Amino acid sequence: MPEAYGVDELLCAVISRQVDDGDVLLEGIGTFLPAAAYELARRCHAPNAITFTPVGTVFRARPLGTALAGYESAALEAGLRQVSYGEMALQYLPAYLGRQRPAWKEFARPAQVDRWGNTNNVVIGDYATPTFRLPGAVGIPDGTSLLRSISLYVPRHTVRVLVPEVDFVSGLGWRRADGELREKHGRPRLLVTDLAVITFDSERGATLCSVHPGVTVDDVRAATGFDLVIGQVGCTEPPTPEELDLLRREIDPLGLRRLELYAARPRRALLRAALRGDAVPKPKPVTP
Amino acid sequence: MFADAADKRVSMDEALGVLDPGGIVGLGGMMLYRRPVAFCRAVKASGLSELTVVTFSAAVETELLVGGGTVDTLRTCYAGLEMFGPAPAVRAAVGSGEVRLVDETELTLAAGLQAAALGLPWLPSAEGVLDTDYVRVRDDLVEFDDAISGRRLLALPAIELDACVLHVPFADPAGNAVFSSSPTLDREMACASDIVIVTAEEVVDTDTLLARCGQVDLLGFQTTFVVEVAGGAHPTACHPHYGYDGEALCDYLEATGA
Repeated sequence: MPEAYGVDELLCAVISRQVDDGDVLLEGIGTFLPAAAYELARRCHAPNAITFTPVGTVFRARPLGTALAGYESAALEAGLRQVSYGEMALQYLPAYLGRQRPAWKEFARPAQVDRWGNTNNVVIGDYATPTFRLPGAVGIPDGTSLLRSISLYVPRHTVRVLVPEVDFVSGLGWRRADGELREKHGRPRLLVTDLAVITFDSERGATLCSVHPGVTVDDVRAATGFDLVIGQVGCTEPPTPEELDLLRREIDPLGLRRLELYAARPRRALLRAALRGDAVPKPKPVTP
Repeated sequence: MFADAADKRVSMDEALGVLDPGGIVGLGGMMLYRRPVAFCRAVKASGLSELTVVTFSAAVETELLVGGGTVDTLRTCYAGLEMFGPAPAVRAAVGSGEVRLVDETELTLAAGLQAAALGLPWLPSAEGVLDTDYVRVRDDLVEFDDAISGRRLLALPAIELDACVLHVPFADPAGNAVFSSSPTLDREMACASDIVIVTAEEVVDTDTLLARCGQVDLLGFQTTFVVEVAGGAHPTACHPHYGYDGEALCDYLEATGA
């Protein structure tokens, strides 16, 4: 009987397996799901990966477990070198982001994504009169044309997120929504959601690669707002007992990676509990 | 070495006095770290208006200013309180048109401040931001064919600041200051700014500053005023004095109904 696990742990395992030893990994802020996945990779198969942690703005080689208010001081202590955002934007990123080796990798979370991997984190609706203002795309617009590969994750896969055309292109995909090749283009490779793993390429666009245990191809199609190429669809490889143990006991005992599964209001209640030391509740286990 | 340097300590009100209505003000720190919250609260109370605020990311400090009707234009690449939730006052004021939001990116901010420090009208980008919708919605991001290299480039305009306000854990009376946490864009802002206001948790003498911190992040000649204000970043963090106050951030968002 394989060990029960949650979709958060499945996502972490998928992301972790995209990391190669020696990569430079770009972390977000308050995005503990990919942060935990990077730590998992460093402990399992990529001990020489370097992480850029924006809290503290440090490049670090030493491990760092998840934490709330304590994350900053822990990150500062773990740093190899601290940089300013001027150095980041005007030196490190333009000089190194486009290099083949070591590869710089990022898992970004878009509010909208289309079949070519164009992403939006700015507004929903018309720019001048939006229906919803998103927090902003931070550094994504600066790096997508340089990065050799960028990957995306979506903790709640719906037709509102996977859309035929994004309302504002803040991250470049392979082609424009109408299929025209972009002069400057991004190289999105992978999209992992709570239902499936999808790959992108410049010719076919988004292609269903694997569905998670218990999810059907039709489930994925129904939750996707663009035409998905259905290739050879496998079943996503579940996390191993070793991976689960590392995530639960060493990397993220409070389960902060699960905060990303929730919308703003329920998340705040769980955050309050986590501030007092209560673990974030587990989603229902993934069952084949 | 700095024993004879001027004592730049002033009261909060004296520091506020250098801001003019309609001025362009940079706010230091980022996200929930080292934000000049006490200063912004004082600006709000002062009744200043029509400010242009430039900040790497807008959090509770900008919420205070926007909620007080102080801001005309906001230039930032992120508005929100990390995973705690949105920046509700900013979202509402931008939605109603009361505040004009200029969508920036990390690069447009960093390059804009660098251009200002260099005395240049803009800096070119060969990759970042090109072909994104930022170019479509912002008239001041101009694509051009470079006459020298023949390459297609994007001009990122200079961001000149009238003043910037940086909150730090330690400073000395001469304005030497230590960040102790991420430098964010604070040094870049200082170099692009006519006036630099440092608000500090603790003002200590220079020897204590060096003994505790090794070297300083901001030099006294860069600093115009020093204002001592303990707890001046709360509810955001000011390492090593305190981390962010998550409960207070939750309370704030609940009170706004966000």
